[in-house]
Amino acid sequence: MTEIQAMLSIKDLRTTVGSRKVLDGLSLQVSAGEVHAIMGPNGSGKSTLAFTLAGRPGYDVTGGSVSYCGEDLLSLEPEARAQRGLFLGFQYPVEIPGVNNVYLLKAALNAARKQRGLPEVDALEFLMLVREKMKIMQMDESFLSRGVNEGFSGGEKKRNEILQMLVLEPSLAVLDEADSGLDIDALKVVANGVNALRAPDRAIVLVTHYQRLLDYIKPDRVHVLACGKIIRSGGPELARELEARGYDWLLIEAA
Amino acid sequence: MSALPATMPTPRDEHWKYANLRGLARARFEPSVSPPAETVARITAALPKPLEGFERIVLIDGFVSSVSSTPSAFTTTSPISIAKLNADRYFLELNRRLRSDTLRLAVARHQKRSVEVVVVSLGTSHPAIEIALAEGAELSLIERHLPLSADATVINLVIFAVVGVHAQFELSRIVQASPKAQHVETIELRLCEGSASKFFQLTTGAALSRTTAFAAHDGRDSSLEWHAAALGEGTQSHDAFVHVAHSAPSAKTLQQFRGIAADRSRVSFTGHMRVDTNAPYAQCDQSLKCLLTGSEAEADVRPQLEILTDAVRASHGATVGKLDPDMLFYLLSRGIPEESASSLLKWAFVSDVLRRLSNPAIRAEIEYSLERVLPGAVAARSGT
Amino acid sequence: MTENAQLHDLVGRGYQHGFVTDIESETLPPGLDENVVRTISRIKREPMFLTEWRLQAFRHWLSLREPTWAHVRAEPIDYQSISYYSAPKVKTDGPKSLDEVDPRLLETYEKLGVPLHERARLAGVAVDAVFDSVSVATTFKDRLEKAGVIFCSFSDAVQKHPELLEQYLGSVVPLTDNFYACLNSAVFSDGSFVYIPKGVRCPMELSTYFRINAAKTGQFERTLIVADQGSHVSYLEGCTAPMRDENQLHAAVVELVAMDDAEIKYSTVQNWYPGDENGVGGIYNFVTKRGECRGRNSRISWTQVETGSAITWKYPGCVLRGENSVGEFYSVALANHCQQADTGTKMIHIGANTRSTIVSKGISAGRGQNTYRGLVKILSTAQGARNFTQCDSLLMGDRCGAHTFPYVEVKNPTAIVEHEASTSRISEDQLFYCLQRGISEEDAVNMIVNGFCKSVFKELPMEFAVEAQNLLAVSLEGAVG
Repeated sequence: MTEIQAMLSIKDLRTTVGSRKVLDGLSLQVSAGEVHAIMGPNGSGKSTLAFTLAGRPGYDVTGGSVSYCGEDLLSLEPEARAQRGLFLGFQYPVEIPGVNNVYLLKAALNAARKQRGLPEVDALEFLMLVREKMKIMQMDESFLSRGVNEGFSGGEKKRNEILQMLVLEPSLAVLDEADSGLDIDALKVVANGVNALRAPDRAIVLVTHYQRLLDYIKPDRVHVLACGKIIRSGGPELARELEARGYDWLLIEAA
Repeated sequence: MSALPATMPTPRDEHWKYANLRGLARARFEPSVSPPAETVARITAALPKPLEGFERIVLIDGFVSSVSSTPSAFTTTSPISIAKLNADRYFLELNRRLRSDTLRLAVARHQKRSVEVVVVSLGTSHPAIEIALAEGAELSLIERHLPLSADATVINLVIFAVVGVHAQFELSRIVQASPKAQHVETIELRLCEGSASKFFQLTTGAALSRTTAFAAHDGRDSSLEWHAAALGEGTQSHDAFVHVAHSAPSAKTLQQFRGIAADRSRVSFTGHMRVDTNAPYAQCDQSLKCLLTGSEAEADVRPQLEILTDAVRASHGATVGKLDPDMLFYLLSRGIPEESASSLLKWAFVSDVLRRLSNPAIRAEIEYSLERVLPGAVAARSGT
Repeated sequence: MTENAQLHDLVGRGYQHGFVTDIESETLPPGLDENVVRTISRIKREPMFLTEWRLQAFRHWLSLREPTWAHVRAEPIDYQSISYYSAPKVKTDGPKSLDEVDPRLLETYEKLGVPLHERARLAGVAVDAVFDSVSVATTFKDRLEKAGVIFCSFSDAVQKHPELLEQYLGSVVPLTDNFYACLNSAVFSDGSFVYIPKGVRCPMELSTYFRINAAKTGQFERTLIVADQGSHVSYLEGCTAPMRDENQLHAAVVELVAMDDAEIKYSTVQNWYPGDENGVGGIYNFVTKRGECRGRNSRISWTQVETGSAITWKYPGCVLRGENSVGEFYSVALANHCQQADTGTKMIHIGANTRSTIVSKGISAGRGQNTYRGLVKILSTAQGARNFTQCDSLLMGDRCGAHTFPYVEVKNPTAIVEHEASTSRISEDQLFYCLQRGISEEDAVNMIVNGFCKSVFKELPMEFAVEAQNLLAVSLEGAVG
């Protein structure tokens, strides 16, 4: 794989949150069609990476560059990044009572279509699309009339994130701890959803603490993030090794 | 006119602490003049379509308009006022002295009525509405204020309602005042045993508005829901003082207020709940929230509880703040443009109150009328 | 055991500190005029500026009316029937060391559990004891002096550090502030003064113990604490009084000043005589306490446990002027029998990124009336200010009252203010659970009440936390059943 082909190219990225340096020279290449897993101990900067890519306020980039589909990602507003097909699956999706789930989905889809010069989606078609994706995610009809994540359980929120991803069909999906707090059945549903999105023109970055999710979503590449940078990369076997040996040996090696 | 028994409130009156008293002092409360026939005709032509299933009564400058009202056979005796403090009675007394007509609505035992009162103010007016629900009666009353005048109108309105034993009362007030209006109102509700009342109010427009309300649970097992929202912009000032007294056992009150202050406006709300010694097993919940969106806007809230017995479950919450940055980022991360995202969140903020408006026709109308204040948000309402 | 056994032991004793010390006093005759003010100032050998300050306060006070807006009912106070100065008679001008202090006074403090002998001290707590109007003893002077900390009676400070007083006195609570603060400014007799120099962490807890002994006197003490840049101090205040049938007035003023990066923690366990079950007697505790976070990153924290007094009327507040400064208020207020507690706080946010936290726990029992009254005010200059308020009331008995009057005033759109409150009675479920486990009702109530107050108690220094729990148990006596 060469750099020109890479959909996402992160070079020497440095991010501070408040006064804390979190990412400290992180580099990563992700090409279309690939699934990458970013693993690492708690507090290593995994969520910070996800938020930095999505452009969350308060995550200040102090150095490095990120190019996404040939564009300077860091110069774009968060909504512009999303409209260009970058999707962040939140670890803790916020509840927004009073804003309807379906409305959010439709507004988001239309914003992305507008960016691509497409007309607004037809209401009926849209509803059929949502229903179809809801089936994949095994979600209840009542979802349609509820507020965004309003009163959802942890598992329902995670399913809703994946549902949104399926409807929006992003080019690059960054999923932050998509498996945390899920029981085994829910985990399978979430993994099915993610696998349904796999395609040659899309890339997926899974941020996860445990290897468990990777039993259901086979990654092409596995990276270990510690102390704000990638300290080891490998194939799926690296995840299994981490499962068996933990992170300490790598940290010691890196130090 | 002889001197009023009460004196104009001052900033030292706790209940008026946040009211725009200078504005009120400047307002010219004069006796209203009966509108000429051509004005009535012009107004009548400009009125929106009557609501389906509702009798309509039109008040123009406080006068019941026989031209535009559907005939009604409502009468009632004049009830007693419960406003106690002198300053709080000031505008009530003023209304009593200056009012022209008193609109009396009485619903007989176990009867059910739906009424729409359209209030139009062109100059100075002192509308008075007195309502009585007999045992088991049901009344759904929609009171709409239409902003048909560009002048600096002055309105001092009084509503008095007695909700009889096991009666059900729904009062939906849509106060869309004209931009220069000075709007004062005094509302009193007496709630009898087993009655259920639901109050809704949305205040927009008006240079200044002030609501003074007293509700009393006189009978046991009565319930009151009070949902109010106010949207301030420009240099508007919206203030409300709502006093709810529990004077009988097992009564329930739920109170909700949502205020948004944009630009340099000021929005304030005081919710005072009192549970007397003879009113055990009370349940009181209060949620008062304000959003500041203008750089020079101001919000003041006072969730007050006065509890004199121990068998009470009471809670209150109050917040003043800006749009939640986490919610905003979530919407942005889904590709929704910033302006729509913030409208959407403002909409969501007041929707706690708006969704309590049970008449779908009027609700849709309101939602569209808010499009100007919260562009792009209408389609976002729950349940679409 | 044995916390419960201890609690149980304490329950039933009633007000423990109600004894009177038989000691000869020098007391001014009742009444208040300019001469009385001048006399107090003369007895204290005060410099000119202070005499003038007092007189200015007195003249202003004459133009003020007693406030009536508090949710309290009180017998009107006859300010001419109060004696404004009472001091234990001593042969010399003032005690130079503990050896010169009247042994009966030392005994009084032993009985109160505040030993003044340094040998028998509370571990590492320096005490200034104020008996009626004057400070009778300050302990640990040497060790504090070595650290550069000034901790002395107000009278001492007048003699030794007049320049500090002139600079800071009245700079947080101006003499015109309110009726009682103004009265205090005119007639205050003694109190404590603390100055922590730059960068010094006070090596021990400082404490003042207030005692009203004489009849028909008012106590008007004044506390001033100045924490200079980067310094740190924790200060404790305790109060008791004998049981007397008439109401006695206690109108203190406490001023705190925190400069850049300084921190002041002020804890109070207030156990003035609350009056008897029928509301006869007891202290009127009308106190003005205010701290100013004058410097950047400064912090002032108020913690109070209010179990005593017939009427309490106090709102320890913070003026958050310095950027990033922090104000905190943690309060447990109990009103049993006929007590009335009207207390809360004022958080005034002026500086950018100022933060405040308010946790208030009110307990009402018997015919007690407990009111939380608080103001959170965000001025337009307070960019990014933040407040969180939690305000809970517990009701025990159908004749008591719990009232909540918060004021939230916000003039800056980047601020976030949150207020949460609940009112409930002791849950029957909790009580039954305890009873079923064999715990007596009284112990169960004490346990539940202590649990209810936990988030405040944990802010108290260790020794005080235990004392506070015990006090609560004693004060709740008779509230059950």
